[in-house]
Amino acid sequence: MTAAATDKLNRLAINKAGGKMVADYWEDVFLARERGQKVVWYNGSALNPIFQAAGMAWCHGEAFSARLAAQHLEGPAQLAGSEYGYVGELCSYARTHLGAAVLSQKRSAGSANGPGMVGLPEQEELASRLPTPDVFVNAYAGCSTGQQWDDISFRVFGKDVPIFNVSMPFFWSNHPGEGYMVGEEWERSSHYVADQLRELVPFLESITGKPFDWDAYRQNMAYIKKASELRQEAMKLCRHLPAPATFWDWIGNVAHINFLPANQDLVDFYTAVLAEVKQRVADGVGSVTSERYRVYFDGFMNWNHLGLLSRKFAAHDVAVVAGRYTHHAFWQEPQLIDPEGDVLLGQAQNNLLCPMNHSTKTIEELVLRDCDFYNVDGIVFHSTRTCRAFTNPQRIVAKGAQEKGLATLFFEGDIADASFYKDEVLESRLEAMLEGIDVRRARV
Amino acid sequence: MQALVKSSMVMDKEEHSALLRQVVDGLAEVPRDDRVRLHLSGHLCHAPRPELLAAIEECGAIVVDDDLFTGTRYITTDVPEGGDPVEALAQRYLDRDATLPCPTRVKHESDWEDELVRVVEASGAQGVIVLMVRFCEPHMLYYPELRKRLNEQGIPHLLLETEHEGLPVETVQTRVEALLERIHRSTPPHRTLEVTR
Ligand code: SF4
Repeated sequence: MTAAATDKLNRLAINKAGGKMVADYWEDVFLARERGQKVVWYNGSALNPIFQAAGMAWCHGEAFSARLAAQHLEGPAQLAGSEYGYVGELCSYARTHLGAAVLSQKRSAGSANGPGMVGLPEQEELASRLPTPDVFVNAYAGCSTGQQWDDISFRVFGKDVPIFNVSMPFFWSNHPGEGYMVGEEWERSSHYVADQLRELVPFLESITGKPFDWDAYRQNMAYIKKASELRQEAMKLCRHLPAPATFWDWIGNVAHINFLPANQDLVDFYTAVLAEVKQRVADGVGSVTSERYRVYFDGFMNWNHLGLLSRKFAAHDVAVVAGRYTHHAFWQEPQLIDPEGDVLLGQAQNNLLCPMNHSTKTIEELVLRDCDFYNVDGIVFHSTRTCRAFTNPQRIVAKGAQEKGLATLFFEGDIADASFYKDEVLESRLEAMLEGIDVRRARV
Repeated sequence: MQALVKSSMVMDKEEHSALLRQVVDGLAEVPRDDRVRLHLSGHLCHAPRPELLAAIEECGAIVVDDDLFTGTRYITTDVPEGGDPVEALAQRYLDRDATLPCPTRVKHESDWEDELVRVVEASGAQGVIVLMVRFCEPHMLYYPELRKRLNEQGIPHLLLETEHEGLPVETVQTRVEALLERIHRSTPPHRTLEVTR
């Protein structure tokens, strides 16, 4: 039996209930047209509280691709994308979603079963469930692929669907005094994006034909602020030994904070998450049954192998306590949201604080800060093959980590394309890394 | 053509223009031969390796037009004369994306596939080779739109993925030969006299 086959992971029980919330959300999206709701396709930034207040159904492209990959249903969409001409090195989130867009568009044009397309049953499973868009809104920080992806969807749909692009500046932090949430660049960019979001509102009104509900929007943002505070508090408790929850748990409930409707249910969910984490701390219960090592995870999630990876690390007594993906995105600075004041500014600022949207220097500072806080032995870098934006700074961050005495490990995989992951490589590198940590500890 | 454009990117313009005039004066009309006329498309930011271009022509093709960054894309749009020079340079970038659309920009004034089909018809190219630099995201995203239009127009084409380093010449030639065969089978050889460059 391989180490990965033994499940020593003690997952947060609340995430099971959370799974149903996500399934219900998608069911709701799939039925949006029947309810007469306008459908918006968007990528990147969490603009959903705005869409919610505009009375629209929102479909997040990456979330759709991630869900397909996590359910091992990505194949037909990727095949359709490949038949349409997308090559295998293209961001697999984009190519899965664009493949689904091709299927969805064909179906709405009445030719889903045309020559060369994937078989009808798979299409029904996928494309027939993704409602075609009435509008695209793009606000992608830190990656040009993300910024172009919706423009390509716009073309796949024959340039007939209106599109709104929000330009998201990158934080270069080139000047003294500039960095994470500080400096002139931060101020300027925040207002630049907030102003564009202000323009988005009348654009959406022109699509829905209804006035935007500002009170509802403020209320949505209040719910998100509260939910994020609860999530942040629970995450920070993972500093305790043994860690009451891990990166895998935060992956398991990332959808909720990222795109589920902002409402009391969302707040109740994270209240329950925090309660469970607190209870575990009080009881001394760990998320890994016999935690001996703790590491930080840098890289996008490998959705195809979520279960395998979580079991593998736990089987080696490794608690993956935090990660750049889960901890540096998703409304992680709730104090910036002022539901009673300039609420769009806090939205814009959180949207800008995406984990790829900073200079390498800032990324290194944030990652190493977390490594200190969670007191980790090392960093596992998921070299995410088709996501260059996330992967680019990793070698430099690794060097900084090594200088601080942290162990580092690289393994190749991908966000949504299973073919790039090689299990034996990770297995042997992980064993070597842990041996190295043992040797270092023995010396001390 | 590649040598002319690449040298113009680095040489003093006045010196280059003088030399270019001599080249143009030395050009003469040549009878059109049976070589297959191809359009090269892609390579949005750097020059294809000269060996690659040689390998294509060694298969019995002649490149009659292109939209490469180090080719037509660079010379397609002039800098407006008069006014502030820096603004004029900026304007040239904006204008160029309209005259020869680039997928690294999200613009809707014109579409690359329309322009590609137009110039292919204008040059009489019988096929298109798309040169895609590996990992070039904008090109990977846009390529299916080109492919769709070329297919609709019945224009034979071939996608070649290239790397910054190294070139599998034999594989390239096998694939180009297959494209040329496809073109030969579908079109009678031209016998008319035309200008080639
Ligand atoms: S390459 Fe990475 S950051 Fe860019 S769109 Fe794809 S998943 Fe997002």
